[in-house]
Amino acid sequence: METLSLLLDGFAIALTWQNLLWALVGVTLGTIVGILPGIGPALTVALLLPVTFGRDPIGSFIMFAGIYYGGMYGGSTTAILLNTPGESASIITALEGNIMARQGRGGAALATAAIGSFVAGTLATIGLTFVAPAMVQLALRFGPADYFALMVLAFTTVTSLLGSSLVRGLTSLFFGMALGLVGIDLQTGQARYTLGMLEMLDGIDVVIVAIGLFAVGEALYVASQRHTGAADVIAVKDSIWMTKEDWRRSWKPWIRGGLLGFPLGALPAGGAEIPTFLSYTLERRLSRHKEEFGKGAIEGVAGPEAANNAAAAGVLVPLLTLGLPTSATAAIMLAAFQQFGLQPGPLLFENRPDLVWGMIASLYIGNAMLLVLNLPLVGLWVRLLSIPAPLLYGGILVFATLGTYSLNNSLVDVATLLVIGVVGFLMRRYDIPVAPAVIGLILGPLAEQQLRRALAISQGDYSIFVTRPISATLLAIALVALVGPMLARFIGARRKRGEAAA
Amino acid sequence: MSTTTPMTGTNGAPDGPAPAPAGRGRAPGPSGTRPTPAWLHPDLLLAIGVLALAVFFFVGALQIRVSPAYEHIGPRFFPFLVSTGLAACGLGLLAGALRRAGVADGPAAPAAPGEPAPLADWRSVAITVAALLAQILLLERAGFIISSTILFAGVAWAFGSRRHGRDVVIGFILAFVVYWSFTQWLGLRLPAGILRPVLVWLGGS
Repeated sequence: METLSLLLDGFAIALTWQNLLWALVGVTLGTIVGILPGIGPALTVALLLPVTFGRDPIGSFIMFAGIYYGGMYGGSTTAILLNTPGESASIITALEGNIMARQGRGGAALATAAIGSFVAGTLATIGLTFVAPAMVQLALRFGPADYFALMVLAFTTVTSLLGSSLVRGLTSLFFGMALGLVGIDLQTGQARYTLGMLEMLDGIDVVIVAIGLFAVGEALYVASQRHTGAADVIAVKDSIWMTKEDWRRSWKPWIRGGLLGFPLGALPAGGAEIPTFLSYTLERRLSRHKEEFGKGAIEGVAGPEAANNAAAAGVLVPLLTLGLPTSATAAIMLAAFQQFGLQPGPLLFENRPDLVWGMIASLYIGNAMLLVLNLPLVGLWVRLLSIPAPLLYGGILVFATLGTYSLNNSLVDVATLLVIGVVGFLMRRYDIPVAPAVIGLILGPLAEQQLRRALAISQGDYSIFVTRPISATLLAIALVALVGPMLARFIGARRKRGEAAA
Repeated sequence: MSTTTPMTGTNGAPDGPAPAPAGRGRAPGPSGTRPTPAWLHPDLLLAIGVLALAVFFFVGALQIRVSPAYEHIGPRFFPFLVSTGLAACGLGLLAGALRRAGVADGPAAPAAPGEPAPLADWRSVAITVAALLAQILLLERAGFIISSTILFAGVAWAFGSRRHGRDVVIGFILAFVVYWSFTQWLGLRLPAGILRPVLVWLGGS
């Protein structure tokens, strides 16, 4: 029951009025950026890093966690009322929720999404509370070879899950890792790829890359596409208080979504997309109203939205216990830890229990705040959707350049931002996912460090990666994750060809 | 607003998990309107770019100085690994592009990943880039408030706004409020530029 007393200590920290205020600021900002198209939680945390520099890390991380959770709630509002998901994990919500809204059931869809997010988010936060200490015990046994194998696993799963094809995800990942090579080699002090520029010695800041790819690249892409149809905001006509029937049909999907989302999010496999798809499929199979799916079934909103939030909480498990980010927002949170001179992992639980448990406790509080913010006040948030695109993107780019400039008060950074932004635009245009690049940039240098440490320990013997049980297991799973889908596709194609020939 | 997914940019997954949702990807453009010849698959350009990047990082790795004390796991090792990975990706994209180019006239071709959406508004992109360049050139010379006002109004213009006066006013108010709150309350330093006398007179610094 040591965990419970640590959690209580965490609540004592999170319930001080300053930290409650940080949590409120965080969830409010998170809701806003989740609703606004073109800006998400990863970008928001990146933009806020200069402001939090030199401040109390506990308050800052409570705010970041609030932004992270709030982004998930806000994303569903946009998905339901606009049918353009604010973030990728809301795609399924857009599918069923938007149809409900068109039928005049937008209020019920928003309510089941918000309450489901609360139920599943709370379940998953309880999961985080008890799984994290166990993971820490496991992580203590990890050597450099095991960490390297874990990162290889994260690389393969993240890239094979994000984006439309494996080779595109890997291209993005390697591009990010290549950017991560720029600067001074930490082990030997050699300059790499600096092109003789002093500014490059410190490397390319992951925050600039994230702002460049997510804000500038996205804005350029939207600018290039701005003549392709505009979506209408659907007005909410019905009450946001669900009927008895709605409750009866929603509560099981909420719980199932939560139970599905948390473990899948906690695996080093990245993101909330897969659990939402799985939850949708599961609910359709279990539902007594199968015919309503695709025509506005409330279960199809309740389940995936719950899974989405639970997975988001799950992503915090590998981030906090292993320092392993598996989503773009988690990668930026890792950068935030590094800015404060902190390294997530077992030692963080040991050295800064106040920070870790204060942050976990604030997640319970943030979830409750979000329920209040998102149900009665939803009418207020909906108005954000009527901000015209020219003003929205003008504002986003002002904040993007402001955030980048204030990192080091350097115009070279802003110029780098523009270059990265153009690259991000080309990536979007040629259908290369950008999230693996951000993850590769932040994990690449860490992977190199662990690889070289492991090989130094083994004196250059590569068999260290397959003789250690943890490392061998992780690498084997990585291989399956990499080769499995290819093999399945190959067999599928052969079968199809066989049928065609027959 | 036609934004899709800022988090990952997942565009149309032909072999993604079960239900292929309507909102997932952009609608595939009509294949007949593409002006490019069939053999020039967009992935071809992409593959060449990725391969060029791989060569750049490989050649760069050769130029990293290695002290003789280090054996095989020095500062060159990982760069070689990454550039090889990039090269493999480039070859993979190339193979895919060539394979699909052969069947580009078939009905399945437009659904392939990597098809840039047909309509590209290059003028809007150019104006947005120019507005960002103006921000870089003017931020320290004219000051944050003026350069950000220009950036805001420029981007609004690029995104189709024709009410330039309104955009300049909104941009100026936004830039002023941001400047004031960030420098006065959040402890950041931003260039005051040519408005310094006015800002000092207002009590700022």
